[in-house]
Amino acid sequence: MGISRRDLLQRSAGLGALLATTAGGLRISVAQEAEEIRFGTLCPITRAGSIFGPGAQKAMEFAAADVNELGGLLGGRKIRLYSEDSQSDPDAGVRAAKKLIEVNQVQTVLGTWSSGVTMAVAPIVMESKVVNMNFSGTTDLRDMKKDEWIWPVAGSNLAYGEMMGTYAIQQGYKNASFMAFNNPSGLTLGEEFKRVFEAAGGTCNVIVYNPNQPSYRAELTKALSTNPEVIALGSYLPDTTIILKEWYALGEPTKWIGPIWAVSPALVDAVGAEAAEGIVSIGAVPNFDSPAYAAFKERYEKATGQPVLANPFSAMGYDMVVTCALAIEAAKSAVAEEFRKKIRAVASPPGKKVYTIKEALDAIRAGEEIDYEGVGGNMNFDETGEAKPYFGYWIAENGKLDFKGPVKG
Amino acid sequence: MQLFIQTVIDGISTGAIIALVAVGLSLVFRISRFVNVAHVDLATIGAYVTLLFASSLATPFPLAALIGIAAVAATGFGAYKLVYRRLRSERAITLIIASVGVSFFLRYLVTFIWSSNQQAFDLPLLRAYRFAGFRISPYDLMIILATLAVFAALHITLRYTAFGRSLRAVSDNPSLARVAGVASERVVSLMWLIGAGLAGLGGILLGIKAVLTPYLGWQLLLPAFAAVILGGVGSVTGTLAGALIIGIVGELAAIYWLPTYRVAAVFAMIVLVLLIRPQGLFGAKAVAK
Repeated sequence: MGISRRDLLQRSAGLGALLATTAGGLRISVAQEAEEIRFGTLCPITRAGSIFGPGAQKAMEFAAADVNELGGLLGGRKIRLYSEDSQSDPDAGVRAAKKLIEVNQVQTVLGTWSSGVTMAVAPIVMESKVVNMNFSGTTDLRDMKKDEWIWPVAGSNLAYGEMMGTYAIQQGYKNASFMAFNNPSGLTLGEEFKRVFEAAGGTCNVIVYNPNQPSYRAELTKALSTNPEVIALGSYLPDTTIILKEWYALGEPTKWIGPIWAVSPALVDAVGAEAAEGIVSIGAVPNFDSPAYAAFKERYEKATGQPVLANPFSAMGYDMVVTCALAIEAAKSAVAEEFRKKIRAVASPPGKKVYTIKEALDAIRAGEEIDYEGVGGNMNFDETGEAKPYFGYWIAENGKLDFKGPVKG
Repeated sequence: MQLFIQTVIDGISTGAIIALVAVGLSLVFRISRFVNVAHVDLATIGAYVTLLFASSLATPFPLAALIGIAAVAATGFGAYKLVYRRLRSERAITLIIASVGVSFFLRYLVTFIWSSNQQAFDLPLLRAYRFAGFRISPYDLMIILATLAVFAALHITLRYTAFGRSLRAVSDNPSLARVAGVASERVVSLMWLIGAGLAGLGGILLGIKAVLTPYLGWQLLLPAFAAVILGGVGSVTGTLAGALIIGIVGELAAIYWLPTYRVAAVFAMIVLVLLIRPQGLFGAKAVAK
């Protein structure tokens, strides 16, 4: 090699000097950014959840911008959002969460969607002392020891089962069948539906079926054998499509109720207007009663071109950022370890009901106890740390799923 | 009794689809002596190509289905020429593993082109026909009739034509057949075309009945494989009988026992049959090497 010792020394010295300047530069920039409060978002931007993720992330950006416009938190510190894509996939979600925590050093990982992603990310956020709020419904999240790090806000399968049962009772049905997909989601939905329905004096016949069959006719025959006025579903889109097609061919009259992820516009498209006519869908809806909702709706629809009702997670995403911001102000600390203990206090009763960020911050600074009511739900966390959203129902009419109104529990 | 007979009718229509997909598996096994796992993914390809022509290119459905079947026959034949023929002197296990690879390739090709979201043929839903208190949906009737027609044609071809004689000769003793002047390469190629085409037909009929996902055919692998074993490996009649029995037993178990025990009941019955007749219902002894 043609490098003399002197050359090498000179180059090393140069490199050293360069490193020193860069390190100095880095230190300066870190010092400046320490004033900012780092929030991470991890929504499903691509793949299965991509109809919801971008909207939810947009709403989170609204919330951060609103807080910053009001002068920030803790005497002027701005929120800075770092956003990653979970790809609706546990593996990609874990990698993105690690990046947010280790590289961006965020205090929150907000907006994980699908139970698989949240369950995979949960141990990492707890170990790293970061707050997670999620749109996941598995009852495993209810039962796990999450020590105020993990907060589900989109309703569990239990909540869906309860609301489907409540709706069926309100329609005056006395005799129901429930067709449950054989996995924790379908079984929990079925058990809870049956509990609510029978507590109100009805009878319910639960049929559990295995997934991925070319036909569900025997299951359907069993469900119809008790002459139910309504068949409720704890199912997914493909099996629901096959079941409805087979039911239509049978020509036996009955009503249908299902969760929004199975009874969706895609189902109506797949089976056609005639077979879908009258089927009822139950799903989470925004907080229509909040005075802040109308403004949020307009802003969201203008920014995304998507009706806010098509994405209840958007409004919930807004509430996630707001709730964490309020908890930071109440805890007088932007460190997750500290402010997580104030999340329940600022969002749940008791306290003065507040609807906007300004109202909430003013009240906190005046030393008042508050109960933040979000645009996506009331954000009242129960003893397990889960907030139950509001629910509404849709009915398929003439080949379209029409929103009809709220379901009151 | 009413319910029992109705359940048997329902089981026959499920069994008919299994039979269509299984018979190709059986034919390939008979002549190439390995389980072509990718066979069921050819069924998926058939359904999606039909969807492409019927929906996107507005071809009448029967024509689209014919194009779908032709495309699958070509795909199956291509897989034979490109992969399996080059490996034919290898052990069966090598070929099975290669077919798993082909299977993954086909399935993810479908996912890549059409995504994993479900699709559906744009066909009208029809109410079931009713007679004497029983019901059968027009599509199920069509599936059963198509299956019967295919098996009748196969039976006649194998038993009474020159191609059938050559095929039986090649499958019974390949070297003797070659010595006797049978154009074995041509016979084997033709058989791959037919087997793949039948998988395509099965996939299209299943797509009409159910919904299209990249896993459409894959979900039939176990039932189809079970039908081949139950009926006797390599036997066309046996495959039909095996598939129908599997369809009927599964349906009966779901009605009279529990829906979740469908598969368990089917496999319990297969084990029972094989204990008594290890070669399957219609099988000859010692086919696999």
